[in-house]
Amino acid sequence: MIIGEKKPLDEILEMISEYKKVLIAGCGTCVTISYAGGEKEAAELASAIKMADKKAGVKREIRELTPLRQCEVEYVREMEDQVKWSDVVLSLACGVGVQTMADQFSGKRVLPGVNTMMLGSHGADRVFKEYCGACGDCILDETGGICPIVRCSKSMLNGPCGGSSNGKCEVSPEIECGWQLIYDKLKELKKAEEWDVNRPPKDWRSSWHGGPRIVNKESGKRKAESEERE
Amino acid sequence: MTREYMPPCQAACPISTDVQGYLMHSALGDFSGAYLNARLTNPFISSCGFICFHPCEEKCRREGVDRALSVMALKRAASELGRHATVENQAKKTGKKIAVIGGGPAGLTAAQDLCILGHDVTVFERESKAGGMLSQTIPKYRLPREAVEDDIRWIESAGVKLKTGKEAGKDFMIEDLKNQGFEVTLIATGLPVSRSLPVFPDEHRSIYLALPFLKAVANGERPKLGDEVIVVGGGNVAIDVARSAKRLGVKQVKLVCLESREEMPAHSWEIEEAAEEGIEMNCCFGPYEVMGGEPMEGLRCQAVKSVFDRDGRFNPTFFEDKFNEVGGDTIIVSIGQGRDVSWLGDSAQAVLNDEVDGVFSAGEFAVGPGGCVDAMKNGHTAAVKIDEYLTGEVMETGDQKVLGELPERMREQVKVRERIERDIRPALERIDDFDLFEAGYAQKYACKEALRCMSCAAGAVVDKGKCVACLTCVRVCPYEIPKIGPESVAVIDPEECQACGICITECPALAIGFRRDQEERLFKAIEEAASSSAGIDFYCRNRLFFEDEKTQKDRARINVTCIAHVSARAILKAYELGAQAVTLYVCPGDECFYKEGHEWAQDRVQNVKSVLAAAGYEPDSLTYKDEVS
Repeated sequence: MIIGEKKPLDEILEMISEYKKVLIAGCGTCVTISYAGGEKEAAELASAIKMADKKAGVKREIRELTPLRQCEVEYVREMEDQVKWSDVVLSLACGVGVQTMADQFSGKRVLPGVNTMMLGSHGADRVFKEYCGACGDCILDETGGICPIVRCSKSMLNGPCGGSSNGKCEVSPEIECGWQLIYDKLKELKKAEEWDVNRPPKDWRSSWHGGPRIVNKESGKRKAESEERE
Repeated sequence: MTREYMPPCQAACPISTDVQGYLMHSALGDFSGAYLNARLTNPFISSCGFICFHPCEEKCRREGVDRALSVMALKRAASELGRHATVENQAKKTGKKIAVIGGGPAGLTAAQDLCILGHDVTVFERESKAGGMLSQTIPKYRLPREAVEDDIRWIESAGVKLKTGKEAGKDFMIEDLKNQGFEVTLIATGLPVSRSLPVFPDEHRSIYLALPFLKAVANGERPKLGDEVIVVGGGNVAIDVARSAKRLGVKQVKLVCLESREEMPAHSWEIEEAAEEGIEMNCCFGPYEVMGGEPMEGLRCQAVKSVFDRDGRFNPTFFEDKFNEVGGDTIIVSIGQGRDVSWLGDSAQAVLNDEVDGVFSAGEFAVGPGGCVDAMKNGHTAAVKIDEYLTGEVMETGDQKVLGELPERMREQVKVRERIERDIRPALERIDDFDLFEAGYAQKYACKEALRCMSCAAGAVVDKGKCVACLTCVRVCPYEIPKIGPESVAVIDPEECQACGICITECPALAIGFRRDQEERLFKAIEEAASSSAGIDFYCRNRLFFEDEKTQKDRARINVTCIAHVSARAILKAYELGAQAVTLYVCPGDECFYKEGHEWAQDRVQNVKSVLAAAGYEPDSLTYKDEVS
């Protein structure tokens, strides 16, 4: 799941300073779950902006709307009336949603109200942790199901660096050493020998280093048509 | 709002009174709201606050945790503390004229309902005051007449026209009503005839019948009684008679009844109170003959073998040779009441069978003896039938499931809050007069008692269309109730939910709401308070258990049943709408009525403070107070 974090209010106020009709667009899926941009957060942000405006003597209209997902054009199109009313959209979606929205409405500025943080898991303790780097070439099969790309601070591929100490990373004592985790897991799986596999340098072209990626799920004639549209 | 589940208290009430509704108002200190809420289905709330047999209390889900809510007494509190003079009936007039004969609970309930439906209703009452047995016979130590008058005033304000001193069969016949343009006549004359037995000669000067006796006493008369009065009968009326006789100064009052103490039809608490007052109970005896002439010496009674037959029907059998002599100089026969159909002549049976066009019957007249609330139920039903008859439109009734018992797992987790008992005058003192024997609740105690209500079936409900299965509710519920169900949305078992509100205020998709309007009410209160005062105090009513209620000048107070109901969104809304300062008054220590209410409140205060700072407000204008004075 995509994890978002609310942007600080002062940053948002600065962003919207020149606009008088602001549509706060929440997003009903990932950022709802990560308490950054759901209907509740949209309502709270609307209150906060109105409070700040009142204090600063700013006249501004605020509306809120939260579609199921901003990363789907059909849901975004349903917002057309409200978007047209506004002179700026403050999107609380992840970066994907912000851009989908901007693509749909030409001439309309869409601002991000949320920082898109990571692909992460949501623990029962309500702590979100980064678990995937979306590198496009998964090797979790080799590493005991623990991703060295994001769970090792240096994305090392062949064991820990010299900064691993007592299971912690030298970057921060809060961070567990990814390779320690991998080692422990392999041992637990009775596959400790896999530790010795020597991995060649990773081909990063499958990741964003190779330029923007497209995944097309259409097939046959429809695929040709959709590629033509691209 | 249509609610899926009905709490058991409401289901137990013959007229489905929204018990929880008026208890919620009372808990928040809004007795006027409680009064109006209770009036929705019960035209006799002020009277019922004294005399209802409160079947709701038997079904209260607190029974088993500690004790049932004191519902009847809280109805009395709603009436005494929140009484309104009138109601405005805005119904569109249908122009249909309806006559109701009999101004007791059944007749007046039907009359009020029909008025609210827009019909033109006139009630003909033979006595000088409406109210039936409530104003005529029920002893004043149980029911002060101001309560009955309040009910009748309300019913009249709904548009019911009352014509007192008009007796059917004497002053008019049904035919006359038809000629006056009444399209429908409803007969609800109750059971006004005291029954007797052949062993009690009509002309005996020391034998009284229950109803004339009670009526005389209620009118302030003091019927001439001897020193030893025998009351025959085991029902509620017999108990009224016995206790009234005691209050008239009779030295010894002796009750004689066929039933064993457990079988007596009188309510158990009435029997207990009578026993406390020194009424002697001679159970399992039937009257055989009056001893002596005039003056009498007593009543010879025959021992009862059984009262009911195998099918449960009343069919007493006696021991041939077992007798008992109960000494006494006066007998009051209180073995039941019957209807009076003599004035209907040949058409009596047809009327009772519902076979006369345009003539309906209701209440005890139609269905036999019962409590006031049973009569009201019957009045409501009659009103529906009459409206259907007049308009041809069938009223739709929604079906609601009744919430089941409190699961064992939850029972252990519900905090004990002992029932607040009212003062009852000592038996020896109360038998000296006809003053009320039970005190009402003072406001503070009424609030506290109402706060014990567990809001059954008023807790959290998930909007399936909005739930994103984020598991927030599953993770924040202090009782571990929500689950992700087979449809991949959260499911909250209404039988388990305690209505603490934490999942509702924390759900990021705003997909969970209360099953009642707690949230809407809170936001409405915020709107009103923010526009009229500089500061708002959110006050957890649970604090009433630890400190006396205080009112703060210049600040608006918004009462909540748990501080966890106040979300960050609600606090921000208060500031947004103009509040300069907000305080959350939390109950002290770990005394939360539910669980973890304080922690959530503290958390939200911290979060909102940072928003306040960023928006240019003084963070310290938001405070959290858990200490009590």
